[in-house]
Amino acid sequence: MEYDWLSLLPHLILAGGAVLLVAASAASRRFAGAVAPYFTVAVAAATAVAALVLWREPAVSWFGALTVDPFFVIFAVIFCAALALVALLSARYAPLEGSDRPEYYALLIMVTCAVSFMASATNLVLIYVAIEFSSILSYVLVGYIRGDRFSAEAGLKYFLYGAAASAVMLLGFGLLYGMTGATDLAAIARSLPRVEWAFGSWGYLTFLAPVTGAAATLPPEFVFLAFALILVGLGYKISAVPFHMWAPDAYQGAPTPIAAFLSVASKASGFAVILRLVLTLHAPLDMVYGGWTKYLAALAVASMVFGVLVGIVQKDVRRLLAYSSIAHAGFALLGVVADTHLGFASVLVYLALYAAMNIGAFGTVAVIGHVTGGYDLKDYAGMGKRHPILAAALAVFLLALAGIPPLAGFFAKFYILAALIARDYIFLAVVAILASVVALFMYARVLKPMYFGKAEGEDMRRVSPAAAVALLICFIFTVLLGVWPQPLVAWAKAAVVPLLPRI
Amino acid sequence: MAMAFPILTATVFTPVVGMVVVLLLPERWVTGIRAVGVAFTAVAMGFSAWALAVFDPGITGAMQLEELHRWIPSVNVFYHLGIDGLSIPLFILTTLLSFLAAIASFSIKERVKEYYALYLLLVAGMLGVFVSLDLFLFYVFWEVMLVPMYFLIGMWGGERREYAAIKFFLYTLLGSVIMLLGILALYFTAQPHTFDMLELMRQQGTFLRTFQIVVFLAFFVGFAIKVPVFPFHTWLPDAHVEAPTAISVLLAGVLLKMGGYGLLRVSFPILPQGAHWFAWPLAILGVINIVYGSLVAMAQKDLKKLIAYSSVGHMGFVLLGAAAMTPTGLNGAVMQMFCHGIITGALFLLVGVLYDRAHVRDIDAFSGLAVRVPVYVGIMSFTMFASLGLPGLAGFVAEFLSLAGAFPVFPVLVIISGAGIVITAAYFLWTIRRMFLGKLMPRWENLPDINFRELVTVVPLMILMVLIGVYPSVLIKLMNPALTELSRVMMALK
Repeated sequence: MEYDWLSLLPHLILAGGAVLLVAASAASRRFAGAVAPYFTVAVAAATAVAALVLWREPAVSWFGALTVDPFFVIFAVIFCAALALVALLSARYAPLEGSDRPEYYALLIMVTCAVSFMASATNLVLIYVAIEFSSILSYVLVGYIRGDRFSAEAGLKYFLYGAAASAVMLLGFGLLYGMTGATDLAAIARSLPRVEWAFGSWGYLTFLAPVTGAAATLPPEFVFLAFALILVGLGYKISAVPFHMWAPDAYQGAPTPIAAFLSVASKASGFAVILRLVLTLHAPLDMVYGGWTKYLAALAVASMVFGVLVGIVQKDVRRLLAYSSIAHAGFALLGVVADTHLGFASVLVYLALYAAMNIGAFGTVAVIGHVTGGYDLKDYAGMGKRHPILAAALAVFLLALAGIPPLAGFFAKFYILAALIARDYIFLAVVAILASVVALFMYARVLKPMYFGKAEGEDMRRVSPAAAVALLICFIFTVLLGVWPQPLVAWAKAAVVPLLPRI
Repeated sequence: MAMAFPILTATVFTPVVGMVVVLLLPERWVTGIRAVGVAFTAVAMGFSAWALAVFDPGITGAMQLEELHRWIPSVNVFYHLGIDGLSIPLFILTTLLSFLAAIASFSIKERVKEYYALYLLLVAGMLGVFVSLDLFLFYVFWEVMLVPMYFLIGMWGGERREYAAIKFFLYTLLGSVIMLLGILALYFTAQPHTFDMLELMRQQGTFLRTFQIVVFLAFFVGFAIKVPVFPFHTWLPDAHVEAPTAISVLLAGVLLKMGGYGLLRVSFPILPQGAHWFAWPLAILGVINIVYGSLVAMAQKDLKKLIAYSSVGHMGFVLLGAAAMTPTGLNGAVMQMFCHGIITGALFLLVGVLYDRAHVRDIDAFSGLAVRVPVYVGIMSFTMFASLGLPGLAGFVAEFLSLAGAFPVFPVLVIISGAGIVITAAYFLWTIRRMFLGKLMPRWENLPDINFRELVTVVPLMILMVLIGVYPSVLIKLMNPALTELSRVMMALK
């Protein structure tokens, strides 16, 4: 049956929730504004439950455009968690920044809906629409602080880069469609035949005259070109070097909870599309010159090295975290490079664990920024004394990001490294490890003023209870999933293996 | 049947419970926090004494008090603890020094609550390393220590504390992550994939020689930085000089031993062919440590730095004894680890005693102290004699065993390392003469002598120095069966 409404349930709940919120705000803005964060949490919870219910019934529906499978469910849960946490962090975060308006939450819910589509889409058209859908909403959210020059500039920068990247990606999609006449990923995978390498492969241009019928040979150059163009768009989405330029400005200019959302959910959605493409088009991708993993590996290495090296010299904590998130994108990408079940599962595990610790880190920075009014490293001097609990929480999140056991980041990195070593990619593992050591130095630059610096000034505001709850949840998961990642690993394996049973 | 009481888990996690208790206490209740710190390390010491009481050295080739639970089954990670003749001396040493250093930590006056919380976490990490039998768990404990150590040096250390703390952190992290690569390489080479050290030892015959050499090198980087082996030692003087007294004690007394322990626990039995390939380089590095460490120690003006470099020298004997792989050599190596722990632990405690009063550590700033603080000078001289290897005290036995064990294998190297012993004797005696003898400087007219609390921290160590010095069997009985077995295995695989 083509119209499987049940499989749309998570998306429908999100879309419905957003519409409801907008409608409610028409009735009473004040009421809607006050309930919005908690309503958003409820929507996120309902969506997560709906997605988890669908775990047992993998289904392809809507003309094959939409696939609801465990792979989607894991991403949906990550997105919903991010949505709920960011909503809590935004609650009373800063009325001065406009986050008390109900539209803010409606946009957040909508962007979650968009990224959920990205994770479940298996048709080029839907993938593209979902990416654009999420991007446009993100531009608005990044530039949300009205009257703030930085916010507006960040939104514009983000938009310009995004528009260019998505145009390039669309060209790649067009090439795929031109070669195969299909937009459905499974159909593309069937139509792109495996081509033997031969000298002068341009001779394969015969595909332009489809006399030979379905078995037309295709030039590998075109597959490579399509792959490369698509990589530009997705590299932008996950903020991998060299498509990362927008990230530091966007994260710095955006309302900080939005930066948290972008660095986790938006990034994860980019990974969802990358994984979906790689898993579905696995066989034809082998046609790419010298193996597609090489190109991803180059992006990964560049992101890790560049991310940590530039991160070290940052003075604004949000920019530092932006570079950290670039480095983490590179690290996670290595799991895709490993190109095994272990590797793909390690990416899912990485993204889930990263969500807990990075929302925690960004959330703490948001709260500290709200409490002290600053995001500069020197504003963190003596935090350990002024706000011991917040400082300790940030220290734990940063150490987790640095990969210190037994916190979540350690297992995330460990699992990726394991996937690399299993494939004998020693060089990549060594680079990843060296980058992690430098990354520790980067995080220590925040720890240093917090604990070794002298306390100056008094706090201006108190921490909102909702934000405190959100941070507590992040904290618990950062510690708990680090100590006991077993269920997550089992889920990730179960989600990946059915998609690519051969390797 | 009722499950046996998990003594090892109890020992390792008692400090963690203590940390939670400390965190729950109000900040201004300093006495209570100190009491909790001392009490929980005392309880841990009690548990380790219990482990010692039920330990049967007669059982060789098997772990005792084993605990095995599933942890992350999808990647075959187990919570696996156990203890044998190699680990028990170091386990006891750790609980003992942690307890004594917790008392010595009373001199910490600022942010006492944070100090003891971090201190207890550090102790738990160290204890875990010595009883882990799963490489994943081993690594987790190994890394857990780094964070509290970083803060303990960085927040309560001397003037250049931030630099020393981050240098220590980055150095050891770099070493350990390279070790992590080695761990993963072992995991994927083993069939079935496993982190279990005992299983990996059983499978070592299936590992290719080249593989063993490469993985040995990866582990060696991690262990060598901890030992520290020349040229990886440069973090040590910085960390030692800047760290507060109690932390220097644990750094020298316990942390350095992890490198030697790792070699004997992981590298040797799991990668025996790699170990044989590295025997000569190890021995040569050991001799460089002995001679170079002593020479640099002699040139120091700062008393604490002198002791730090003397540690570099003393750890050379561990390497030399271990590289020989003879039963005597291995006994010497572990004996040296234990004895260096108690002797240097005591030396750092005593430097702390002096510094607390005088606020300087320059050797030249003192003279004729024997007149003014005779008890302190007596104890300090006694400990220095132990450190320079005076027969009848612990240091002598350990060095003697190391050299005697290494002689049949590396006669020339042993002779060269004799120079290190002479230099060590020279600089300690010279230090004693410069600081304690001669005329008392007027500025120390009112220097108070060592007090009761400080005596409590060093006297147990002195008793051990004498006990082991005159009756080394008390320790050898514990470890010899296990180490003889290790030596037999290693020699058979040459």
